Amino acid sequence: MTSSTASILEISGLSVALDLPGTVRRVVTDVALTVHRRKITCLIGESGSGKSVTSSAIMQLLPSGLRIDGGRVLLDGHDMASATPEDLATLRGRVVSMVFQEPLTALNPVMRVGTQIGEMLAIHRPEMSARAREARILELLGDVHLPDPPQIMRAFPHQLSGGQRQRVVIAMALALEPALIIADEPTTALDVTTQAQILHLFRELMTRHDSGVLLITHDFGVVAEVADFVYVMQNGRVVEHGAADAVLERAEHPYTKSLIAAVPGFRFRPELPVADTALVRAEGLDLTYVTRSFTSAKREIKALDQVSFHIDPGETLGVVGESGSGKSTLAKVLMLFEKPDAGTMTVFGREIGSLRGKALNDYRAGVQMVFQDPFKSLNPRRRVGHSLTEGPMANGVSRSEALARALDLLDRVGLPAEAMGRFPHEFSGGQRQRICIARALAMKPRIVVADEAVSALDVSVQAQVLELFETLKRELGFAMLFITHDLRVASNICDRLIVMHRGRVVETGLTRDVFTNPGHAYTEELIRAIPGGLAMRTQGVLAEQP
Amino acid sequence: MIRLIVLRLLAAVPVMLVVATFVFLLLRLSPGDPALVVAGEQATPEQVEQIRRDLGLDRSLPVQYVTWLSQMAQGNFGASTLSGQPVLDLIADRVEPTLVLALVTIVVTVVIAVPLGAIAAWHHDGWRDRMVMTLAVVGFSVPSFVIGYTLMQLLALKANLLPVQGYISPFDDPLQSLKHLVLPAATLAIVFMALISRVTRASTLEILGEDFIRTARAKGGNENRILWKHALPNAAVPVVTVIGLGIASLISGVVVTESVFNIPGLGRLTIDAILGRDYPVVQGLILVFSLTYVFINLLIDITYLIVDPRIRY
Repeated sequence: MTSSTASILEISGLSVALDLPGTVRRVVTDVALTVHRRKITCLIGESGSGKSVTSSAIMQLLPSGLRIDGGRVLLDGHDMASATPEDLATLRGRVVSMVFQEPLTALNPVMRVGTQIGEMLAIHRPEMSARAREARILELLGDVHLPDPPQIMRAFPHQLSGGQRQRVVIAMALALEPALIIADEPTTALDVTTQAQILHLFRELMTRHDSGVLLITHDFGVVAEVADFVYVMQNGRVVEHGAADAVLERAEHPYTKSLIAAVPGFRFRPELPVADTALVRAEGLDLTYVTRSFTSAKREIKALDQVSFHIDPGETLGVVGESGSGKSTLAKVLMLFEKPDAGTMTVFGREIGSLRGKALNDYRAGVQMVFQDPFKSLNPRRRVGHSLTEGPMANGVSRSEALARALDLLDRVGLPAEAMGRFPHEFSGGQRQRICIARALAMKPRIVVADEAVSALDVSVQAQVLELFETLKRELGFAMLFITHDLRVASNICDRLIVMHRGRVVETGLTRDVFTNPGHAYTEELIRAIPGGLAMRTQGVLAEQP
Repeated sequence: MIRLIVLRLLAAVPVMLVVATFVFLLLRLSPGDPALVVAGEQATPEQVEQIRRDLGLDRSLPVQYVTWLSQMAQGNFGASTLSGQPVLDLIADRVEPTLVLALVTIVVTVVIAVPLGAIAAWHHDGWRDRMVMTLAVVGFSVPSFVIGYTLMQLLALKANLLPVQGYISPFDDPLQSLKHLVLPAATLAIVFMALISRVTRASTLEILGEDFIRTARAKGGNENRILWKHALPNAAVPVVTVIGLGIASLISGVVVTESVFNIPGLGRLTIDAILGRDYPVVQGLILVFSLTYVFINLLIDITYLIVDPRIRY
């Protein structure tokens, strides 16, 4: 083995225990794993599989309550278990560095981006002059393809977009050219085009710096796109591992197979008969956000620019596009959270800008929303039953009827009746999203607005929730505005699509037509950027095309 | 920033107007006749009536109100009914001791309480944490006059280390001034230390659980750097709020301490004015205290902008 492909990380028999009152639970059991230089090794599994705990264990950064109770972590020849706090401080950053999942929270909000990158150098290379440090920061920002490094360097995290922040986190991780980069779901929070760029960046930088990458993900699309080796984790154990191609094509373990199967392929829906009257009809919506900066300079962002669309009864209209394309603003206008500057929107036959009093109240009851984050969209101190009955009761439904309706909906979304008396934190992410859906449906809406409603969920859970939407829609007959950045998800649930880019609708049409025969360069770009690209697409409908 | 300051100062005008009206009504509607107090016990009814006319108290409330407002708008706060001195002069004479005492107190408090709170958060649930929190509970629950008299008894009367009472301006004799300030400042500081260390602890504790703290640790930063450079600056907003409100309440709320330590500040002036039914002085004082609150709130908001770049107005 040449030095350039030598192993940089070797884990053997690693176990991590969680100390509970009176008992000890193993969250990671007997994990063995190797990462080579110039190779991307993927660790894949769903939430709770122990993949993030494993990565924290490598860094010796386990959350309190968790402790390593067996095994060995050899990092570039250093045994991490016997490292002193001083050794660890030296190893962290210099030999191994980490890219975290949430670019929104991984950076210190009150420290300039350049200072945070420079801190790496200040800690590990105190002899470096301030001028040399600044030059290095600028170089790093350029390396991760950020525009205008001098300006980004002086920016605070909140002034950057999610993709830019993730690049900053990566630049920080690369500052000392570490031998190993651990990236924990580095692209989960990003949209497809940004994700594709970041994954590409990893490969480029790894080769340039002769380092190894351990990439933690729940998305087999990402594995297909970049991985050289893959380890599949379930319930704290590695159930299958090997070269990425081999595992993808000839998965042996049933869990691996189910994970691969759960990745939504392109499955298109049969065409709906054309309806006579649209439920929603919007014409020429304009909405511009004006922000004032510190120096009182005005900045205008066109969130909606001449947007027109319609939704037929019983139809699911998908809205796809990157973050900042105006998708969520569209939902806000439909929900009456925002008022457009120009244009008309007619819903249920009435112009919604003119609604007042009872009509307005009825409208709000008739249009319900399911939000992205099931952890934040339920009141943590309120029992599920309370959340489900509050809306109907505020709209004049009797208590007994509201309760009956809530129980019926819980049953429909696949939760037991006991859930009524429990609090949101007692449920998993997927279960919470089911509660959120039940809460929206309790109002008997005619339109459900789902804003990235499955994006925060594991793939297998995602598939279940999509299935649930499908069933409920058939049974209850509501129309949906389904916002997503994930084109595979869109193809599974949407009858028609509108593609948004910088506030404009660049393409609209039947889902199958948009994907198989995109009419706009931006749509093509979105489709190309889907991780896993061709390998994943062969499982979908596209394979049927000659 | 300048826009903010101008807007906030403009917004202060209606606030002050409401305060002024409230003060006016409160004093006019409370029992007791200032004319009687001014006239003294031997005065004849005619003399009292004459004084009442001189003070303008015989006219209807709305007329008194309008007259009073228009005078105030011209910067004329009237004269004390007791001594005849202009109200503004009286207040100006008493501002220095109060201000000096408040500043010394707040500096001592911040320098001690913020690090204490941060350390308590860092050693969450450890003995240091419990010790700081126990002291905080004690400091908060014991009334300030008890602390004042106890300190006086121990350090001044028994040990004879410090002067018992009185005030000397730092502009006249800095050393003596400091000696005189130690006891009253300590008395006041103990309560605020308790409050600020608690707030700092809670705020820091929350920040220590944030993702970017883990990032800092993954960078190889040592624990000192993480606590002081990453956690504390992020914990600053609630701490700044409490410190600011602390200063405001120190300036307007030193009545007890000034009495205990015989300091000729605004607190003493307030008590004397209230006991003597000296309407113009009480009005002036309340307006000055309100203005202090408005001004300090503005300072707090400006400080927010500095400590947290995400905040915009």
